[in-house]
Amino acid sequence: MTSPLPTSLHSSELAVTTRALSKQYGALRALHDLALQVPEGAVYLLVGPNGAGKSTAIKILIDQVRPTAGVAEVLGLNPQVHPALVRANVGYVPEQLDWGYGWMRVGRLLEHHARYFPTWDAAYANRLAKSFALKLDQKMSTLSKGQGRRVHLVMALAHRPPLLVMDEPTDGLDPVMRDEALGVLIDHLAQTPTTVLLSTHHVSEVEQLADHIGVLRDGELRAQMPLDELRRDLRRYRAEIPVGWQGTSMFGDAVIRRVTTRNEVDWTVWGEESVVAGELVGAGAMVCESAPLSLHEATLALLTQEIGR
Amino acid sequence: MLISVDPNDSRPIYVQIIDEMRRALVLGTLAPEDPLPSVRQLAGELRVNPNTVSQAYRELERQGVVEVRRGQGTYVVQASANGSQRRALARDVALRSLRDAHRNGLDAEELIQAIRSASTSHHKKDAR
Amino acid sequence: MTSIALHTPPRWRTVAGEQIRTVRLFLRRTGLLLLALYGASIVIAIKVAFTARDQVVDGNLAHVNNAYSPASSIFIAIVACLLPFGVWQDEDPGRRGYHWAMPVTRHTHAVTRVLAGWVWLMAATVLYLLVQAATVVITERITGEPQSYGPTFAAWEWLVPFTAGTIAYMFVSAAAVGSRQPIAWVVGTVLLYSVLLSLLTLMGYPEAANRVASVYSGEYGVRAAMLGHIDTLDAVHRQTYSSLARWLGSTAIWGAMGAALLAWVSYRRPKSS
Repeated sequence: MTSPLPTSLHSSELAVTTRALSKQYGALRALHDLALQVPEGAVYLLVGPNGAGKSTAIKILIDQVRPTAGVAEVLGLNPQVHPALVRANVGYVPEQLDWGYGWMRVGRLLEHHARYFPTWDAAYANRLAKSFALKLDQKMSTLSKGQGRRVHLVMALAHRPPLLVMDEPTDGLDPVMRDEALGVLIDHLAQTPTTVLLSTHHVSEVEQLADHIGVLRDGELRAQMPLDELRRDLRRYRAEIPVGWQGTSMFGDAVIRRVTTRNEVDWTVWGEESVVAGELVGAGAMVCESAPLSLHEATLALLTQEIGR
Repeated sequence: MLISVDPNDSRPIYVQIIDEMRRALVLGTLAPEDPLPSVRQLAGELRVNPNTVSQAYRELERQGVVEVRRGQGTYVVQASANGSQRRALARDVALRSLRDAHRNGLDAEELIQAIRSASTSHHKKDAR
Repeated sequence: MTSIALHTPPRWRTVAGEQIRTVRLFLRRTGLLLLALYGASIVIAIKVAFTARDQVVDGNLAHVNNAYSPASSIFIAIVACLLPFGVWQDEDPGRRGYHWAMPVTRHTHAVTRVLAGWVWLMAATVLYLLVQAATVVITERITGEPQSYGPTFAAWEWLVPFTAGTIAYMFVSAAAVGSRQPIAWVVGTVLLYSVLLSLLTLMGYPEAANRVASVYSGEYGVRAAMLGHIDTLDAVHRQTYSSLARWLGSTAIWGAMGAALLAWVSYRRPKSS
């Protein structure tokens, strides 16, 4: 089933790319024909409801899970063929909150992690730990969810990997900490050229940081494009319509959300603004407003869209 | 330097940054030879992708408003064409107002009339 | 496809060293318990020696029996069987936990941790033998009676605890690495053997029963590897059936099997991934 929204990028330098990636768990289809494309240097936001396959896709990229079909390429390498090399270049923040050894102290765990990454910047790790207010002599299991998560962030950032892959990195963090983490990430990006692939439910917080988006639903990519394009071409049109208007099913699948009353339409439409507005006017509607959507609204619309009308 | 960006604005963020810089120039908050905040600093303040800030700075450099001095950072150019900045700024404000007016069902002429009468009463208030 | 200079994975030496350190932390409590046991055994031996010295039974000095015998490598074998559970505690049974996300290939990292545990097992074994030797020396000093190491004690018998421990450790480690319920596998194997043996004996198939029994007590059976083929545990009344050839043979066979099994489970990917 083809989507009217673009699902492939026109970019030559891709840090991450998958081709026909599929994962089947028995009868459950976790991923189907996934063609993920993350350009180098991008901040790519992967959104989707729980169970959409985001974590599965991410785990395949670092060879924690093997796909049933298709191939992934991370920084030019196949993670199945070069798992150690791929993981040496990825700063990974996992979905689960219990990561590392519970009985180990924070400082010891960071030391342990450091030995696995020759490019570990110990001074940077200390600065990060300080800005996250981490107590190095506390046991991991005694930390709160948020504190534990912050340790994971230090572990992922301190070796300055070319690729950051983060699965719900701010999970468990309260709003203040989430903002702090965002600040740390931005500062990191300003210092080190990095490609970021992150999945999060807190879409509005990363709205100004992300520049690409992929919408995953039921294991399939419904849309994949630069965020500028989404902002520009997905708009909410409010128009007055005459009684008995014939154009109520205009644009077909390009309408992500369709609310039609007797004398008004409130449609979220994908398409070039001038074209869509022009067609509406041409069909007899009076366009009152065409507003861009916030990322939160856009994501919500794309995720709740009824498929296969 | 206090600038802000709005994610709900229809302009891309880098355009907003450029506009804010222009505004600062016109208002005098930014003077010739002044340094711009570093990409790292501004990105952190605005909670924005550093690439976006870089993009804005590159565009400003292309327009000749700022220049990059190696090892020192980005600086406002000596002779900033203040007149053209003012005109560009005014045009942006006008476009925004027109869009707003249109959304409320008003046309350009009505808007211009309203602006004229509002500014005269505004001036009367100031004069008193 | 990328122009980025890629970071390199860590050197194996560094990983091995770090795993040894980490496993030591994992086994902290076990180690303390072991040290306590060793200490207690020396204390008990001293007490027994003093008691014997001050007793006179039938005009003879009471015998003290604190001699080492390789059969006591059973203790080390037991420790070796329990050790992998300590080494792999905290590990996600689906093998998707922290350990497996490191920039090291799965099989290498699995074997490296097994190896790290083995290093500590060997250390515990050395300490164990030292405790044995110390006990003998102390008993001799106290009772004035030379303690025998038992009749014809070959030098190679000192190696038995090391090889026995290694073999037991490899098998149980393979269960720990390769399955989600290693206890089930270990207990299950023992049960299977016992049940099979009993059934065959009861149903009147003595030949088949003997074949099954020889897996354990045969010429190159498990017991030969574990004990150097000595039949009784009592060092004084020992029937000397120790045999270098049989020990070498059984150690080679069971050692190779353990290593092969360990290699196989290390390369195998767990079901859920």
